[in-house]
Amino acid sequence: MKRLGASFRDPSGFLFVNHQGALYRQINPVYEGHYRLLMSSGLYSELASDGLLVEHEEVDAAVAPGRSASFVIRPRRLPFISYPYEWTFGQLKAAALLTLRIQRLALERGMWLKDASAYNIQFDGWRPILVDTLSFETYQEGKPWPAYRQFCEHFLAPLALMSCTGSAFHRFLRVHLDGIPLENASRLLPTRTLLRPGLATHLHLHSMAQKRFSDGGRQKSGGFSRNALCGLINSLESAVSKQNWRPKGTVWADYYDNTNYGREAFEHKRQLVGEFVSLVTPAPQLAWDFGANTGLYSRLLAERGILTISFDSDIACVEQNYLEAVKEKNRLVLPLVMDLANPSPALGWAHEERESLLQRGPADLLVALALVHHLAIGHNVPLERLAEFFASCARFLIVEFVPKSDSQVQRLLRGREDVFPDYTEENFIGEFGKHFTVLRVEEIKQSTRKLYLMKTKG
Amino acid sequence: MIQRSVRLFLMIAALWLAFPTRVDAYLDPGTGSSILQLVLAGIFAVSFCVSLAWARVKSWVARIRGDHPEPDQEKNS
Repeated sequence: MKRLGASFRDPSGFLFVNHQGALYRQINPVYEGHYRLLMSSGLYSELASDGLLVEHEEVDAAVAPGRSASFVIRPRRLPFISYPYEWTFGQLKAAALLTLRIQRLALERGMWLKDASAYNIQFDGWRPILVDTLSFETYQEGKPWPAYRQFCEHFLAPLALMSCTGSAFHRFLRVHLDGIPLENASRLLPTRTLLRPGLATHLHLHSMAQKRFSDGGRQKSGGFSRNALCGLINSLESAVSKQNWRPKGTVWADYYDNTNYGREAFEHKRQLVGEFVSLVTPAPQLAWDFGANTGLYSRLLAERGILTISFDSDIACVEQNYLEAVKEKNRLVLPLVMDLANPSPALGWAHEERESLLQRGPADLLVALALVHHLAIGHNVPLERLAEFFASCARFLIVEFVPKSDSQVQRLLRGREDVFPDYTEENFIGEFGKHFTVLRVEEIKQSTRKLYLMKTKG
Repeated sequence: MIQRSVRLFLMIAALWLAFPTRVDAYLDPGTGSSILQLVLAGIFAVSFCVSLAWARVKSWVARIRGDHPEPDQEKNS
């Protein structure tokens, strides 16, 4: 039995995995009443059947590592956990709206959300879903919403910053795991946001109130009625809905329009990737697509029933990919922002709260198309290090080698000294051969490029 | 928009005068959030009642016109 590193803040219970890797959640006596109400009020059934809350089954409490368990539940385990700092704008907005929607539904059943952490939401393909079953508490009439500050810091502040000032603030999410402090958000937002009632109230005024009453202050007499709470939810929903970010002027979002691939080469590459995927045995369940751009090849994998995590460092591409996945209602493509030159590290308390990218692997299959030259030449990563990293990511690898003679590589080398004498196909095969066995290699028609299917050794 | 902004400014000023300033104290980030909600409770409650009444009027008009109102939100599946 092992408690999960991220599950320690809430005294209501915790997550643990058994020796076989099955995931469980212990519910402590202090939460027993709330859990019973969640189940008996019909709230759980409603949320689970609508795909808003992760489903679970109750199991024998004897499996719990501690003696104090009131209940033990076994939630459906999602195949890949992602974090808000890996989501694009649209995903964060969808997660925010889901949180408010659940809060409203909970109120109708005499409960409310005691917390509103973005980390309580996961993406099941295109759909956001609440995964913390212990977030619900019996509604306390007259009390202000305890999760109001957390909601504003985890959702509204980053959304407003990105909406008003651009995507550069996306990186703030990785620095501020407990949400963006309202004081920072208020200072960074343009002055014109003072004229927007939602942002003025929930970010600027909220920040001022926090600062003003940081010593505890004296509480205003009177209560916070149910109608006031509903008004607050409406106001937050309106403020979130008004935040918009449309990517434009990105290099990669137009990649497929500007690429030097001819039609025949493009079709041949698609056909080869499809063939290579069908050669992977046992059939892959989970694939990582590195440098996925807007997810063209991720969809090729998804069509074969493979859940594909579609990574790209360009948030504009990821946003486009996500919007497409929403339109398709695609449950097998999960677009995420990931800079492979600086991938998500282990973060939080004792480096255990949020796992690094590699800790969440390995995948069954890694796809790295038109990527090696960007990392090897664009980021000066030696082929040796690249092969080592790829081998730790997945059992099988579909990788494209782009030689120096290719116009895209020439573009990368333009205006700089060529300090990459080792960037040759011979070296590529030599270095990757230390970690992989080459199963198949094919030239892509009407191009200088080659596609490799490899399997990790050992 | 300008009228709303002026109202907001006056509200902030009123809040400022209503509560004493204290600094150099232990940080309790939740207190300000709770007080803000309590201070604005009336506004939130009234806005909710107005939105509810407006929704009822719209629904009544739609019924009279024989329209079929769309559900509030799609299911998440």
